[in-house]
Amino acid sequence: MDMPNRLQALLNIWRTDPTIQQSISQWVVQPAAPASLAQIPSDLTPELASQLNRLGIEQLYAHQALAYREITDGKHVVISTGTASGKSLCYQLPILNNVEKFPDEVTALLLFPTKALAQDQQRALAQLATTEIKSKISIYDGDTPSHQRSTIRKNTRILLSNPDMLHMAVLPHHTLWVDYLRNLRFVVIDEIHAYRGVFGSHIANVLRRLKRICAFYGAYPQFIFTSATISNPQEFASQMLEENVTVLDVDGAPHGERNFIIYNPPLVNVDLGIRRSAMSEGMRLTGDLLTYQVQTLIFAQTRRAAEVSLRYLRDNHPAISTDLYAYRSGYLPEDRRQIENALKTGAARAVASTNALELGVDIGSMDAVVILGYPGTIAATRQQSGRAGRKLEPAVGMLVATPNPIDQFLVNHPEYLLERSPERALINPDNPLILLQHLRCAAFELPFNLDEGYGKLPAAVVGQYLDALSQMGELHLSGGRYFWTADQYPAQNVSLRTTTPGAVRLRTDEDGQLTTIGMVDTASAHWMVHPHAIYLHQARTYRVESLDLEEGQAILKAVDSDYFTEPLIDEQIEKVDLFRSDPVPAGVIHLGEVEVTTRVTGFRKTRWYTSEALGAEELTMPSTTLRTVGYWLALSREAIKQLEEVSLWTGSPNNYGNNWDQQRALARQRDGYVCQNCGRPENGIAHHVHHKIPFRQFTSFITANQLDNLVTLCPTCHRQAEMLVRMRSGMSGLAYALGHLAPLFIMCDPNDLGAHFLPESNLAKDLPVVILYDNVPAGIGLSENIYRIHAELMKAALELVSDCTCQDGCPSCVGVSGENVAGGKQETLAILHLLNGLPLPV
Amino acid sequence: MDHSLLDRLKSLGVQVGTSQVKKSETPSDRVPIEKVVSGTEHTTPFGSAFLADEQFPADYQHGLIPFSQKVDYSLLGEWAGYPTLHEKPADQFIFLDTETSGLAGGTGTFAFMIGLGWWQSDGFRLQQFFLREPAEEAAVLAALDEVLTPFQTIVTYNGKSFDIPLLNARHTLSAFQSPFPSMQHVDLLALSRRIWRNRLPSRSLGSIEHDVLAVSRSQEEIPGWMIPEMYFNYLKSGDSRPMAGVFYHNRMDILSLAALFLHQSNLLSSPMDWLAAESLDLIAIAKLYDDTGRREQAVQFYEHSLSLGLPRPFFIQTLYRYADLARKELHFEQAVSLWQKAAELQELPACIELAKYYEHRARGYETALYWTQKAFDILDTQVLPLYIKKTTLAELQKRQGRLQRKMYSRGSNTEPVETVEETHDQS
Repeated sequence: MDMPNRLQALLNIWRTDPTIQQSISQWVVQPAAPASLAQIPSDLTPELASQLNRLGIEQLYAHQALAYREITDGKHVVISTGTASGKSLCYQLPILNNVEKFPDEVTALLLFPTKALAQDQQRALAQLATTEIKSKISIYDGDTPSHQRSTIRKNTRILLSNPDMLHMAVLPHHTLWVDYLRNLRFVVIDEIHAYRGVFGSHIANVLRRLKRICAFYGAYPQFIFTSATISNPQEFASQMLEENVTVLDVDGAPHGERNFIIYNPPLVNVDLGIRRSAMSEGMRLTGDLLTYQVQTLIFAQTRRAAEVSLRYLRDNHPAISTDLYAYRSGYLPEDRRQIENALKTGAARAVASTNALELGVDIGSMDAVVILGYPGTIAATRQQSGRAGRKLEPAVGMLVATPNPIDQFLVNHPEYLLERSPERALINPDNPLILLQHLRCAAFELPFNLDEGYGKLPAAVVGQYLDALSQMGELHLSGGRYFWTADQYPAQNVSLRTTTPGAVRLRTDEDGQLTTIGMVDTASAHWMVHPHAIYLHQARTYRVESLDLEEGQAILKAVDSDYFTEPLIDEQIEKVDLFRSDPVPAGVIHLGEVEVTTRVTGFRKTRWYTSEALGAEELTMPSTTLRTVGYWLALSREAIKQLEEVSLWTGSPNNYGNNWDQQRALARQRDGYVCQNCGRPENGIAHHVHHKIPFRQFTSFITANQLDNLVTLCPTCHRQAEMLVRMRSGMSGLAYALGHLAPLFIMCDPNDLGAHFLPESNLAKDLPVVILYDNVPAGIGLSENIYRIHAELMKAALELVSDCTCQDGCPSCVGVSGENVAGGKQETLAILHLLNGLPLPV
Repeated sequence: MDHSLLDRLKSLGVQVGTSQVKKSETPSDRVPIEKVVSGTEHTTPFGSAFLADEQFPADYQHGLIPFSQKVDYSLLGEWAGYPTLHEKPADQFIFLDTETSGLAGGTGTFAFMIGLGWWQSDGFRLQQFFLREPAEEAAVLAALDEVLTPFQTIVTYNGKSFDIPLLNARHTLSAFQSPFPSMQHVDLLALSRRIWRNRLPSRSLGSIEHDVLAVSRSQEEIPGWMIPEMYFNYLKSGDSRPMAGVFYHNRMDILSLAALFLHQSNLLSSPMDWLAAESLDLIAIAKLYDDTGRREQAVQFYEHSLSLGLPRPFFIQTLYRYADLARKELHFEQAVSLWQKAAELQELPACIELAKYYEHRARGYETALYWTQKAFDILDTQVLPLYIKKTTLAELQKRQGRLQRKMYSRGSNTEPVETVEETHDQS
């Protein structure tokens, strides 16, 4: 049987096998579609035309031909078509055509979010280019050896780089690039959907700086964006460029029959609502695919999960174990190239990857994609499942749901994934703090004139910032121009991602010879390679002997381990400084500096396969702190009283009835003071006791607190058990709603904000608090903005929750509850009425 | 308006380091440079700038270095990549040093002072151009280009990576053509590094000037790292009095640069006249002679340095270098005696060199075995990373085995054994 028939045969089995079929909550078949084709443009250089011919390309897809025409007409465009629809050719053709026709007058800059993508593109361009041009296509990134750089600056016509490099190395040294910049005609920004929120706002400013420097040399390049399918590519690209951008989103690429399946693992414990894990079910389905020789790409949500997947697969398919791989950040570049190649050639039968393979790294297309758990955004889900489907052959993409509320919601509401994407990528390049940082860089690059604007900002606004910088001593106004007068290289202090720099080398020690096998970033090192952690690398197990964060290295020893480890993490939020606070209806809002402290307190050991808990160990690890700006809303005691009077307050802790202390003690004694989930014994501090069926489901505390409804859990396991019901209180519903709604108002990515409900917080005299904070060191002004629009935000939140047609909470309003648990929507609504100064609804 | 923005930025957590220096409110607080440093207004088509112009007499002496001496800079020129440099008279060289708004590099750094020096018939001429305001840059660059016109060679200290790229960038920003790409450029820093790496703790111009030229600077001197900040303060306050120290600093740099040029020329052209007692400097020069193919003289300097005595690591290093040179010249006896000296000092590589020599060249397998065994003994006592020990041990064992086989086959068969290992064994 050939592949299409093998896959069809397997799909038929899945359709009928009751053990699988009943867990399939959604199966959408998108029928095969033929290509919409167009002629190869007649004005290509003969070399380029013959090169296309040699590569077997006789016609273009309609969108490629359209893009060629629009770009040749000089328009800024954004190409937003599906995964593997040949987006790159859309810009490769017009760029190569121009460079070949006018080799001394045209240069191009191609920016990719990752180094790997730049390497793919270099290969792809080299295939199409003439020999002469081929030698003038160069990558310029952090890995480019310094002795090659000056040659690249002199000779390159097509430069492949990344935004960080443009920001840090090219623009502040633009005089070294005079010939290149003077001729800059095309700028390609690939995968712009990767540049949302803080990152995107930085990138927009980098583009402003690029345009400013180009203008200095008399160049006005044309911009070409590519994007995955988001709901607003045109708006997004236009906002990024501050010019009108034409959208091209009609996909002319053909595709075979596509199956998209949402698979919800079966319940194993109806009482606790526990389902079989997405991992084990995903591995079972992958096993079927491997048996039918269907090449499969698995997307795991964490690096560890990718390694665990590989390990399961290798153990269960020993005959092909060398054709199974994992892929994630932290691997050495040459290892990555090897795996990418194995995927392309088909030598790799299955690869378990993190989202490192989500962005368009060229690995060809798979027959099947298995996504272990919702990847966090709809765009990412679409992009990952879009990896399945070669030209005209059938393909299957599967989302295996986890017990997470969002996953469970999507199981019931697949239309969010399949039809309308509510996600809008937005940026705010005028955020004062981001703007200030880039005005510094811009002033360093070229003195500002008194009457000069910046991007779409008028000179009057820019002038205020420049004057402020003058007052800070960084600029000096002389002869109508602002000169940079600080002994600093400002780009160095601006991180486009504002993540912590630095990396930890993972080195194995064999007889004193240290070999580096990979890297992790410093922030991740705390939980990935803490001492005694079992670290998986290409399915080999290593034990971490020591971690030296100052030296930036972890020493690993290869061991045969029959268990894996999971870190236990503790997170705290403390107030550092209060900038201001104001009374609002039903409470007080605060703006201040907070410190979010995260610490790995220990780790848990679990045996492979049996998942038997082998106990836990304590660790003394330094904590990592994020000092940032936060906005927090404290509910007043009066408001709480008002809510309690109408039984709409469920946030009070320890309200479990007068026999609670006694029942709790009994439960712990019965369970031997050992966590019934992970086996960790108590250590000076009492474990928690968890209600299997949530307390508020009962009318009487006596029945709720019966011993058979109670179970002893350590704090970490308790948190996990509560995951299903954590959205239940009105305040946590409020935190959820605000956390998701605020980005719409302040134009950032939801990930740029942290949102938490703190039941008794020291941030506000033990009152219940909802806090939103900038998820970025030192903040970027998001919380400040939220503070300013508090009233507006409360009004919008009330509308959002009132308008939502759901029964009792869903991801679109107050968050979703687990099964069998009330969502807390009425409670949240009541709180929102008070916060808006309205009487409680009757 | 600016106040509210500044306050807003502050409230958002921007570190606002309000400068200590207040802008002078009254004109009387402003002290123009003309009142502090003697100089003139220099006018160009691109505006005017401040010029301090000075003439040093023909018999001027800078530290130990008389400016009137004639030196032979042929080897210095050859080493800098200009073998015909000696054909030019010294008055065709111009010495250049800048004071800048920072050390960070990039287009935001500018030179607010450019110092230039050259010999003319009646002595040494020194000119310093100064930006009273950053906006005067175009005028200063235009003036600089005019001064440079008759010269073909610039001499700098670290100019290759700092001053000249910076001035090139400044020309581009002012839309001027830079004169430097068409000039020869001798950067004395690289040479200083080579000559004094062994002996001096720092190769900065200031240290060399103090330790080698015996120049001491007066109270007026301002340390280089303070200079950008002082200039920024001057821009804010309008008080140019502290700039006098910067003029002094730059003037001394130019004079020391010229003096160093003379001194380095001498060291290179006749090292035995200058360094007969300075064995550490001499071995550095010897290496330079060695590298430029002057092997005979290099041998002489190595011999002399060894006889003068050297600290142990340099003594050993010199033994190896000298031995290597002797080997290349096919003076094997000499090489062997040098390796033996090193072997006496428990040097493992020397034993291996000797073993190689006796195995492949002299075919004295027994002696080769002796040195192999000696290498084993030394390896045993040395503290080395385990993996190096392991590889070295493996190599030695291989050599030992091979030597034993060769001895055996020589015993049974009188024909000399072809040594096929020669090539891969040389490294």
